[in-house]
Amino acid sequence: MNPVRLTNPAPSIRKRLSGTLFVVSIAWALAVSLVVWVSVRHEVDDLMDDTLQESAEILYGLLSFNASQLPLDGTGSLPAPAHAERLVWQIVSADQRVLLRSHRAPAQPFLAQPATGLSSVGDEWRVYGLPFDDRGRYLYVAQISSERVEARLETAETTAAAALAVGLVCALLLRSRVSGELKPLEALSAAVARYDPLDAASTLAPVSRAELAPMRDAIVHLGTRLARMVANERAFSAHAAHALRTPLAGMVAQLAVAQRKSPPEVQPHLQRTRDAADRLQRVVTALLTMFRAGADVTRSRIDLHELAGLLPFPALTITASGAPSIEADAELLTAALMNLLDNSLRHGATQVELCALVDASGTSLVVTDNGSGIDVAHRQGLQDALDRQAYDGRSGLGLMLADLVARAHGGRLVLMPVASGCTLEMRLESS
Amino acid sequence: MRLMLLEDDLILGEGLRDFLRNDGHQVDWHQCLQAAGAPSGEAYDALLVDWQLPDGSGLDWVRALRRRGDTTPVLLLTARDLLKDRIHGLDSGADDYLVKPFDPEELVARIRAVRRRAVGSAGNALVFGDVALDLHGKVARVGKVQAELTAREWALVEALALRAGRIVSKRDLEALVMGADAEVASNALEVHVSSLRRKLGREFIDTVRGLGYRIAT
Repeated sequence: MNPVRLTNPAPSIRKRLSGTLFVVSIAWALAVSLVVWVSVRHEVDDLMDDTLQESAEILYGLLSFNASQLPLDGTGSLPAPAHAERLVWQIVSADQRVLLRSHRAPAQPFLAQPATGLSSVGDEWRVYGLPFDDRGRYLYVAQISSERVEARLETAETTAAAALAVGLVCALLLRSRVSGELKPLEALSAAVARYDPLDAASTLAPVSRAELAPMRDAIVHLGTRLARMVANERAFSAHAAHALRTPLAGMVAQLAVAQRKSPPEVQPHLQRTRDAADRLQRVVTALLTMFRAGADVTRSRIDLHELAGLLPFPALTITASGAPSIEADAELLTAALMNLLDNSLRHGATQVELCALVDASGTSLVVTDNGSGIDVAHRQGLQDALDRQAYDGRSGLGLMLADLVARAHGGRLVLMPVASGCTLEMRLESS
Repeated sequence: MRLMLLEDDLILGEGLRDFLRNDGHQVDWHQCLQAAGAPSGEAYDALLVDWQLPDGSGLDWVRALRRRGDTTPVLLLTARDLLKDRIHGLDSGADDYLVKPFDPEELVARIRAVRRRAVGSAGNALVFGDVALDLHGKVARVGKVQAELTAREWALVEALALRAGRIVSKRDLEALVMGADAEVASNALEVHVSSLRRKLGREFIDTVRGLGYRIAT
């Protein structure tokens, strides 16, 4: 039986899971970065504020220890080595003059009014102020705000990069794991493809994942039921063959004897009875073949000329053309042709041509007769019934069997539109 | 030809027996294996055996026959039409396989064919010196002259011709020509042999004293 090919292939579990993992890892990295950004913003501010305060207090201690020797006359700053100053400071008098400052600190006081504790000066400075002495002088220690932004950004970027890296690594690991976990499913698919329930030696090996066990058990159960059904059908078919064929053979033999012994005027009647017995024989063969049509198709190379010569229709001139041989199940094809030719005979045909046209995907066996043919409306109705496999209605046994045989070969039966006679195409796909 | 028909179906068995007799053959028809027994010697020209018989398998019977070294041609008559059955039947010792229903005319043609194969002849004509026998037309010629033979004489010459080169005992020859159950006068065979010698030539049939008759190849 040919596997069913879907027009739109089903989505891949691996691809879907991989896509989901990738999206989740990106989203996770972005979410982590956002959370870090929000939380770090406060934490870094708090940390730097604490640092600013601690620095101010340390500086206060150092400056106030030698306050008497400090040049608090507004003339400049304390000496310091060349460096990128991250913290600056001012000592501001009660009348808001900068008495002493670090060399990068502005010459104007940070705050217009003396203030103790933390405060922001525009977007540029973060300032911590504390009274320096009992004469109203204040010590301000300040930090540039951009320093804080930079620290926050660096923290957020590093965290985001780490989160993204971890997410991608996790995604790759999970993808690899998903592939690994899908392998037992692939192995089960391959085992099912090899599994032949009709072969007693064929078994379905146990699965390696608990989730697949019910599927495997269901397939084995289905296979067992199928094998039992086929065995019953074969047994029935063998009994039916014997029960139908033997009396028929007896009838033919008795008629043959009667024909030899009877006077000439009775001969035509006996001959017609024998012809009817021949037809009955073809019907019996067709029924038995059709009954077995669900079984395996045994393909072999069939010589079309030889087949045409073997078909037992003395009243028909049967010719073969096209490809000299075709690949098909000889028994099924012969049964189908015998019934199609029987139809031709009953519709007044005297000549039948079998033409085999071979292409890349299979063979079209075109059967053309010179009988009375089928009118257009009837042909379309028959074709519709065949396409829907609605055999119980208008299609006779011959067409039904030919269609079933064509379908068993992966093809179908087509009633061709022709001006006279009847032309049927049995499409047989390659195995 | 003398034929054994093993067929349990009454209508078919009777029909085939009558048809074959009408065609000029001696037919022993049995409906079960027990009645058929085991043929021996040159008893039959061909055996027509149904696969499925009431008291056993016709195929097993054929197998046993072959194991005993019996080479009598066997045609298997059966309703089993599957390819594997046909192969199994032929591999078990049958010389031909005919699926029921079949035309009796085809059966007769196949009997002739298996007999021809048995004597190594491709056609229906057997030639022994000046004498030519047409098995299909049942005609004997000496040179270009047709010899007028009776049915019994033809049966006798055919039985010997199909066993050409071999000595056929008088008893076997009587069974082949007259049938097993026929009441035969003690000198009937000699009378037919003598008549044949007159018509086909004195040297055509050898008498092997104490053993039987023979046509030399």
